[in-house]
Amino acid sequence: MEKMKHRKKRRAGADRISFNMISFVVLTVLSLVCLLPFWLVVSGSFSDQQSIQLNGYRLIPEKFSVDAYRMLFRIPEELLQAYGVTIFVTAAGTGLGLFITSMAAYVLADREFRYRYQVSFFFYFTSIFGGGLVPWYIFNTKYLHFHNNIIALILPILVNVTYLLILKSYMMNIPDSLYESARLDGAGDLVVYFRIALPLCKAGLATVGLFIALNYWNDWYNAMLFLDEGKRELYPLQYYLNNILTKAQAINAAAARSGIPASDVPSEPMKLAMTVVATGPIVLLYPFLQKYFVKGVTIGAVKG
Amino acid sequence: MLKRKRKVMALLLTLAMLITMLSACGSKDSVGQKAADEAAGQEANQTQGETESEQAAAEEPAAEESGGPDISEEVTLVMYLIGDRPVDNDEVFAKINERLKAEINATIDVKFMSWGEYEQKYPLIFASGEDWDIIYTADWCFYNAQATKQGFYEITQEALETYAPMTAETMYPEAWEQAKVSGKVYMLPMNYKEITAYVYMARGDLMDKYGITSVSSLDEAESYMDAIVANEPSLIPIDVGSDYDKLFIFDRMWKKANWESSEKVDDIGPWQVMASVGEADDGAAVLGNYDQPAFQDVITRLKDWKDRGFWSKNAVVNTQNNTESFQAGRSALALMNANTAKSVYASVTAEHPEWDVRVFDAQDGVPPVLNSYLANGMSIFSKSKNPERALMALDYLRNDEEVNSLFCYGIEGKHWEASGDGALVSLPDSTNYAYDGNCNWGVRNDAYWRVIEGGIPNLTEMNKNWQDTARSGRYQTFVFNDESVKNEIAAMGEIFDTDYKLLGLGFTDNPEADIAKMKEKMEAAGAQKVYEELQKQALEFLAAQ
Amino acid sequence: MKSRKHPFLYDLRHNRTKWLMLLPAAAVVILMCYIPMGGIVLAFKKYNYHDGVFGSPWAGFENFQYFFKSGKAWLTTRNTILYNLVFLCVNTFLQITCAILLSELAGKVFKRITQSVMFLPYFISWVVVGAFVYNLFNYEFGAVNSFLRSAGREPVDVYSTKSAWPVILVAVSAFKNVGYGTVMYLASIVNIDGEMFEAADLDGATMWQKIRYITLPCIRPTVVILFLLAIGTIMKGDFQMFWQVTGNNPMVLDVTDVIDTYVTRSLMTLQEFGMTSAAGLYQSGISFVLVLAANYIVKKVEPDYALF
Repeated sequence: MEKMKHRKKRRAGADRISFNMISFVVLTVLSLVCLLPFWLVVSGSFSDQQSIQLNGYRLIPEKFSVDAYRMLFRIPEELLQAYGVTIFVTAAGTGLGLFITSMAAYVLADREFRYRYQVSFFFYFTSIFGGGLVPWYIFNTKYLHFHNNIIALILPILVNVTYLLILKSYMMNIPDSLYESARLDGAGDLVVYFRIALPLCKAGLATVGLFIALNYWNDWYNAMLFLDEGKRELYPLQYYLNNILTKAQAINAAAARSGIPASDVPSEPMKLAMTVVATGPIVLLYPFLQKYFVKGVTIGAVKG
Repeated sequence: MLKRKRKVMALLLTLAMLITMLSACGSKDSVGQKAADEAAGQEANQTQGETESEQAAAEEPAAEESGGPDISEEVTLVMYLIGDRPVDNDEVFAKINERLKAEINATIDVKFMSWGEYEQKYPLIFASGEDWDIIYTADWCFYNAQATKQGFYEITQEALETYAPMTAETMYPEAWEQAKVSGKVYMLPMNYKEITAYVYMARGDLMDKYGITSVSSLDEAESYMDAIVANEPSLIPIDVGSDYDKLFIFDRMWKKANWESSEKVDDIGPWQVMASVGEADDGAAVLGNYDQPAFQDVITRLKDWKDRGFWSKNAVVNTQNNTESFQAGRSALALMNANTAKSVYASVTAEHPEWDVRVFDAQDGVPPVLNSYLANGMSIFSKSKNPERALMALDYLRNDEEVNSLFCYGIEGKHWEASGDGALVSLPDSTNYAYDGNCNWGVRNDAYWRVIEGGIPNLTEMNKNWQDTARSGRYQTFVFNDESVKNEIAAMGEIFDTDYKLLGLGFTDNPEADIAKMKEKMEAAGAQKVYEELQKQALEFLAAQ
Repeated sequence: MKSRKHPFLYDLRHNRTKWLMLLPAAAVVILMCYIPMGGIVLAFKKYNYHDGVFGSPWAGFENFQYFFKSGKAWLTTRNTILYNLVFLCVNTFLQITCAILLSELAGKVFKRITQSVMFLPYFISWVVVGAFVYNLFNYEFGAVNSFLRSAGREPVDVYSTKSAWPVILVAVSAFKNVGYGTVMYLASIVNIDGEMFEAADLDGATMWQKIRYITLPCIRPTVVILFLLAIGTIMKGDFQMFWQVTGNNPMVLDVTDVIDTYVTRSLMTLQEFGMTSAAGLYQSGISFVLVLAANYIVKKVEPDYALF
């Protein structure tokens, strides 16, 4: 057996090598295209305001400065608090969201479920028609009491219908035979869901989980709508950073108004530093998930 | 093993169901209650309205007898301002509240909406049913939009006399007239005559280098910018084009041409409709700017300036305004209003003394016009639980010297120091509560107004000149009711933002043809209907005077 | 017996676990979407705060008028649909290519690093992307023109060149979305039964043959569903992208204006909720018709791939 595999590998060798060469080149180019702008962001965030204004973005900061970070980290406890809120909201929202979404996706992927088209439509319809911001806002504040409530940061994006339908399509890829054999053993839907559907759909779950997590991580809109300016302890990271920027600009304007020359707020580098500060932790999540994106292991693993 | 797993699953599932059931129940209740609530709310509103007017009627004599409205119950008023909370805001308002508590048994709780989000949040807090009372408003800050949607509490003359006697006494009658929307007043406009005059700010070092002595007219600015184009390739002469200053140069030329015209053409109506009328014309014939004889000359000159490289070829996508560019050292000339000039001057002279910055009058013989009083004001929420007390509080914010000065300048001795009558000096702490920078604009009051000392050397002289020549246009207090032409205005606003902006920055190869093209679009959008409506209302306005 | 009369009630009882498993997601959707959906009536109302959403007077189709008045309705609708179609094709092609390359690649470390790096653009906000584009193409000091000048060539004025913008927009859309979308296809590829590849290897299939006959057919359901989902949003533009990247530039609006940017410009100062609603309803209505048609066709051909 081992030997055969070995021979097989060699036969496909030449073909594979040229393929690998091509992939290597293509992916390296693409990566550079993606990396370069991000590098400019990092470099810009360590530049001083005036050199960006005058000369644009450079690969190496023309005049090195950490002012932007100094502004963002001015009150470290608050920044940590904001990280805390975001991490909590992301963890809670992703966990609950993924659970709810995958359960629904499991049912909709079941070819024996008679109403799967109708129920899919019931979900899908909401991604096309919406009542608009104002009625939604009125309902959420008047009847669900979202105002200054952390639920407002979780519930609105808990279930994303697009992800639900994508997850459903992943689950439909699992061979029916696996479900059937489990059912023949007398397993109920919940057991099949937990023991077959979830383990076999790890890559799909990782994908959708990642998307949900990113949505939570980047969300500042709901915070802007529902949190008062006095409720700083509930500010998620993105909103908090945004706030520092506008506040710094306001202080600068205030200084100018008073006829007192103010030290310039590095607003350009601050925008870039905000990207860096906000991207940092979440970008680490992805390599951690990558172990689920390995080809052809899942089904074999369950069968074996 | 399996058993335990099952247990965990069961637990998870129950949890999920519990959560959904809870929320579903909650929602069901609230849905069921929604209708009832609404009905009750409406009734309550109605009865409240009725009792209010009854009360007002009944109270008037009573108030006279007992010496004032009933203030036995202590209330906290929520006031929304725009901007970011100044660092020392709470300290300042503690002092304001001390006094308000003593005078009217009320305190104010201030909430801020930052500049980045007010456009979205402003209408939402009216819709949300949240409990609040007072808000900053202005003609540029949704006054008309919210008033027509019944977002504001109507301030009647009687209410004003009963609850805000000081305001009733000092209100400029023309300001009160201006604030009327379909005959009703929903705002206390600022008690402040503001004139906006424009100035040029130029680099003294470059002027000396190229032998320019003055930049105080369009022609002089032209020679200065010519010198810059010829000799300073790294500088943009004037970096206009952002949303803020896209029409600054156009305005200078347009105003001058109109002032020099025989029938004294002046803009009328909302800016999106781009309409003007001759002041000398009693028939109030409203024309689109594109039909005014001077328009094409102005656009041709703008095209000429643009072609000579006076501003960037990419000016239309500028995000920085021309003063920021000037401060950063990218441009050689800036155009701004006199108030902005003070602050820009202060920071530029501190950072770049070698530029030898000089400031010149940019009015070019055109008398400055008094701003609309609606440029700043305060309103009361239509669903406020304590509109009378809110009105009383506003009365103090506007007319009580101590409270007004606290709100406008901060704490005396900490943020500012008086400097003779009507002037002040900012103290270092004022970065934490800036002069006139706390959304206090709605309560500005000429009686207690202080100008800031220092800064531009020739400003006093220019100021005097402007004060002496300032005039109110014939249609100064004319307010257009756009109710019947909202769709047309929306469509025209789009043209204003695109074609008009391009023409206003000289981006055209053939002014005549492009003006004609814009005219065609405007007419398709319903310009004629709007102009007729404008003329009709303008005639009514003239007749009423 | 009763159950035969009410197949739904029967199913509800018989498959109650399934229905219960649907319940949490359904409850969220009802709360967050269906109840506020009543607000659609705003499109036909003249809203005021006192009477609220349902009590305000009717306005008929008045709120829709402005959209058709300035003659831009057709232009913006066309632009929106065309852009979305091109984005869909270009991005899907790139995403699938990357996913296949990544899944077949041997070097583990290299693979992980490229995968992570390709995700980075997702985190750069459109404001910052817009600033980059401006810094590249600005006439006076942009990087491209500085280079052209130093090479003795004529600078180009990208901001007044209409033909440049579709290319720029497609490029930035790909830049932001390729890494993100690749993950979806990658997840679909790794789900393919490994035995199929092993069997193909035994038959001596080449890489290209394996991709052509195993990988591509196996990810077809994912492609189809993502395509259908994209049709559902075809009338909406990524507002931030169009607004920030073009800098709302009036010189090239003919080729960059989409419905969302047009509506924002028109209603910026008016604050008419009804008019905003009307535009939204127009977008939803057209999308709905398109998606019904697309779904109908898919269902005919391959019922499993249909959305509903």
